[in-house]
Amino acid sequence: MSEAIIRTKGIKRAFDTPAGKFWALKGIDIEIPEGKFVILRGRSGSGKTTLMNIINSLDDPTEGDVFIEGTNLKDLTERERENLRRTRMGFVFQSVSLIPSLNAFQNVEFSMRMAGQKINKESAKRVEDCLKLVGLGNRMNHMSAEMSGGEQQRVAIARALAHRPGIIFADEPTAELDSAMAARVTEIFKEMTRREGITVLMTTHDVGLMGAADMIIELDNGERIIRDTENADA
Amino acid sequence: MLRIMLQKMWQKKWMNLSLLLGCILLIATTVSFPLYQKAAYDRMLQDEFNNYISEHSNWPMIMQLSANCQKDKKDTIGKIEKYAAGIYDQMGIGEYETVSYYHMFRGPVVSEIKRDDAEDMALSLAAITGLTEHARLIAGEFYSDDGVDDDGAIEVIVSQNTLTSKGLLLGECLTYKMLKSAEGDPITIKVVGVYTGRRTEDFFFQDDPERMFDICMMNPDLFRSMFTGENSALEVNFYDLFDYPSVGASQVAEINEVTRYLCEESPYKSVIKDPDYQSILEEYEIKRVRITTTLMILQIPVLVLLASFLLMISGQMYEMERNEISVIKSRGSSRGQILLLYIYQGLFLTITGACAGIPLGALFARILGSTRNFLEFNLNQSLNVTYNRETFIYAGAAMLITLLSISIPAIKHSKVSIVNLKQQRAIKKRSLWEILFLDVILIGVSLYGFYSFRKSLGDISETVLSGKSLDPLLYVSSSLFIVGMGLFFLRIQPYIVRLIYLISRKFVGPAGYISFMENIKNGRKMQLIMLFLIMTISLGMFHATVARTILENAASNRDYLDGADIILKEYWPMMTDQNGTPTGTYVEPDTTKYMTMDFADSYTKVYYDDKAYIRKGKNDRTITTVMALHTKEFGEMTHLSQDLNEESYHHYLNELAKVENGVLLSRNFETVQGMAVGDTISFYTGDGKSMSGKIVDFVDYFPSYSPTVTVINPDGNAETSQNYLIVTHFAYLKKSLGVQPYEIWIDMKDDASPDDMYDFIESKNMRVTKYVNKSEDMEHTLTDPLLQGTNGVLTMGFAVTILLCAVGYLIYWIMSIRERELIFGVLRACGFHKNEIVKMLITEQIFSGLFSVLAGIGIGKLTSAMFVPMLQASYATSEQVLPMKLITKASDLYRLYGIVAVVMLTCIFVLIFLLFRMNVTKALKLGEE
Repeated sequence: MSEAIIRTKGIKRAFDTPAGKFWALKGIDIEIPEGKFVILRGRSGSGKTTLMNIINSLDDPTEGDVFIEGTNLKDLTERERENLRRTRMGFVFQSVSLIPSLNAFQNVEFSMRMAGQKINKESAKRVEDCLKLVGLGNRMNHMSAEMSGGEQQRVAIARALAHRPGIIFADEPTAELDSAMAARVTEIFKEMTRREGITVLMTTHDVGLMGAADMIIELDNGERIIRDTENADA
Repeated sequence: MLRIMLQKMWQKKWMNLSLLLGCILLIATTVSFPLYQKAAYDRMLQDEFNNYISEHSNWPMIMQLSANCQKDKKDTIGKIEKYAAGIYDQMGIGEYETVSYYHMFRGPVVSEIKRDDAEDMALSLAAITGLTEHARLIAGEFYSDDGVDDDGAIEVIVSQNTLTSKGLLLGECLTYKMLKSAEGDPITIKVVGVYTGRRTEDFFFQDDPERMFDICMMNPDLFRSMFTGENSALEVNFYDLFDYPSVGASQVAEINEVTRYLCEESPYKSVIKDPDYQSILEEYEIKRVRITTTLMILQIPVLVLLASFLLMISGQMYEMERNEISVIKSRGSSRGQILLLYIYQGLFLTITGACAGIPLGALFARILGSTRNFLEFNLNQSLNVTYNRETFIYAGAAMLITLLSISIPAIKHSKVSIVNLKQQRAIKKRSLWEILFLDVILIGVSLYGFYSFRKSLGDISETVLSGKSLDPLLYVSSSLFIVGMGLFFLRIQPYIVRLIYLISRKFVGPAGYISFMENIKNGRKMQLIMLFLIMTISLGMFHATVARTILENAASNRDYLDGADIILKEYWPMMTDQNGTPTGTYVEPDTTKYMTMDFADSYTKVYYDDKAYIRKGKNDRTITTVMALHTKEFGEMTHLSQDLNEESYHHYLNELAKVENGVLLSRNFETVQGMAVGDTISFYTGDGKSMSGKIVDFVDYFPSYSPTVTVINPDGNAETSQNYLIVTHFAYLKKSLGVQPYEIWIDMKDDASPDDMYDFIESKNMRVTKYVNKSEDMEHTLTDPLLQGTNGVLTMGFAVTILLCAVGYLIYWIMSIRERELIFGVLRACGFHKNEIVKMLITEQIFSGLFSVLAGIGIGKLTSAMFVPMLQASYATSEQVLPMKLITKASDLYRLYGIVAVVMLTCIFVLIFLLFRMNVTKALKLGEE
């Protein structure tokens, strides 16, 4: 097993509420090896998204440390974190997140621009490959308004992939899709880990998708639940 | 329903506040129009009356009824008198004074005193009501209350002229030979007093007592009881002096109508004389129509902008509420219910808007009345603004427009259900104007207008001079040109952006990339606000230039025509011989007193005669003006713009100075009369004295000289004729003709006030026959309702549009940020720095805002250069002498740019503030809900 690309140590996160401090995360330790498709599961309010945002550096933990590819996020400045997100991470969000004024191709290409990669023939080839991977090789020139929700989400996945990040974070990417499309999307993630060696961390509460995962991390009430067998949940 | 409406409005409070602002401004602007006009017209009407007083030295509003009768059997006189008293009520104007003047025909009298001419003496008996209050007694006393003395003789007073020309004595009794009383007794009169006529400001004496040579005034009550009846032939005049200061502009139409009725249709029409004030009111009416039309034409684009602002904001608000509407609709609410909800909302905003807008309109009207220049006010000087019926009619109309502007977009939106909403959003449309090539059509039409007007430029000023108003088409062409050019810019703007992108794409970062793409793909969404911005700026520039040009030209023209700060001429008595006949030589008033004017920089003597002439044949006289002056003193005091003559002004004065008997002639002596330099010209002064001079040079312009004179014929057409000028040396004229009455031209110190001069004239007890005061004339020129109204409307229009533009621009951008909050969140999550998003927005602002500003400036400059000369011509006055100059003051433009810059910077700051308040994770969450 290769070295962990994501490692957290005692992550705690508290929010101030009128009733006092609310602990959304109560000390999470995880280790995710490179190139795995990992599902972060749990009910609504279990702390999935909070944990994900702490790992991808959008949020800071109240206590604890996050190591991405061996680097402690605490040691990075805001700029360095932004750079990390641009170059080493890819994002897929629950709702429509494509830039409306760009077509599918440009949306995907944009992540490469953000990562500071050269825009040339090679990059165009890469964009095409990514779109083909998500099954949209024939819709490259369509605007997002001209595509269905599932298609848009697949473009978003291609975008998250195009600049060859180390990790893709996908927060409930299937929530707005029907089950067939959700399964298709999950398949694509799985395939990405195989073909490109990218680590995918996806949150979902859809039980039907768990089968595709290499690893499942389950949260409940801010705590990690360790089960005996990873796929035994029913 | 009401609760839902208020709830809904509270949710979109900023939008609704902007709508409310729009309503208030639209109503205020509309209402300010009749308010300002009423106040300005009141002032203008009083000016007309005052002009009449100074020109005719008479009360400006009088109606005279006169009747002759041999035997007044039916008491006609009594009836007319009663009728005259009732005219005030009919006209609806208060009474200043009613004067009844009874006059009996002259009859021979015999004096109790023996004298040579007793046989021929004839006197008239007359009476004027109120005489004792207005006449000044020189000797004796007034007639008593019962009008007869103890012996039964009628007491009379006579004017000085009557006394001297008839050789009457105070206390003398005279008996009429034929005139008898009702009882058949002979009538005897007794001269008890001598009176003199009016002080200058008293308009009581419609017949000057100094011109009455044989009239004896008796007690009017007594006169009426003795002579109005069957026994005597008399003439009666009743004068109704109306209280003209109380007459307002709104009464003019009714006054005209009643006057027409009285003079043409009433039972007493035969005794009513056509009153003079009709021509005053006619002249006023011509001016009023011209001003009303002009101001209306100027105001319409502003109102259109305001209405489109309301349409834009309400459209945008409904756009935001589309989801709600479609959800409500899908849940079974009828379209009518939704529409009703919006109509209630519109009503609420309109009524609230009116409550604030109407008083604000009064303030606007006051500001209009205090406008000194474009974006320049003098608040010390304000109009007396009062509400009238018209105000509320205009307010009602404005409220209807606001209600419609707010509700119409709702009709479209109430149709939408959630299904077709999603369909609609996917459709990308070209705007209708783009498909119809409206921009090209508008430019074409306006250019056609431009060329046809340019061809007939001369005609424009002539039409205007004959009292007609600004041709609406002319102004419309300029507005159409601006709209057309604005739209055309919007058509090409995406290509410009694309071109810039193609050139710079190698250097453009991800932020710039998105801005470019946003603009190229979604630019159409911004067209309305961009057009708004372009129009505000180009109209602003155009209007600034129009206002500045019209005003500066009027001011420099006034400056030129007056010639000096003060010109005054004293009364010059003529010397008489022992018999009292004039000798033709004038007595020169003492001029040493002028040296004590400590408020003046300098003064000089100028001989000025505008009734001089040259002769060609015996009966062929050509009128010319002759000026004789000290070249050095005159040249130091007066000034003339360099570009008016071929050479500099002082060059001509120097040329004249070199030749002792030299004359400078106006150019038309050369072009029309065929004279040449070196010729000798003979000319005559107004009183026929001849002299000659050697022609030194010809000038096109000279201080106070107008090369042509335009008069308006009775048929209403303007006619222009040549005006000639001869300038010679003061010393040469004196040498040739002796001392002639001259004027004093005075250059005042900068801090001097006109009162200084008045005080001086009073303290020196001077009798002044001509008085020109440039600063007062200037004030009069600049507060001319047409000029001031134009300036005011243009300034207010600009202020209103720039305010709306700022609000509209801000709303557009806030909405655009709100709409894209999710995308910003996504970008931030993907590693975009805040600064990059700011950079992105600024780049977008440059493409929309800055481009529009630049386009607005360009279009404004072009429109000014093309249309201002024509518009200016439509403000021509018969006094306009100097050639028109297109004037743009840098300070006006800087002020304009400054305001625009403040607006745009405010927008950017608000946007950045909003952006920094935005929380990334929150923004992302927003999207999830």
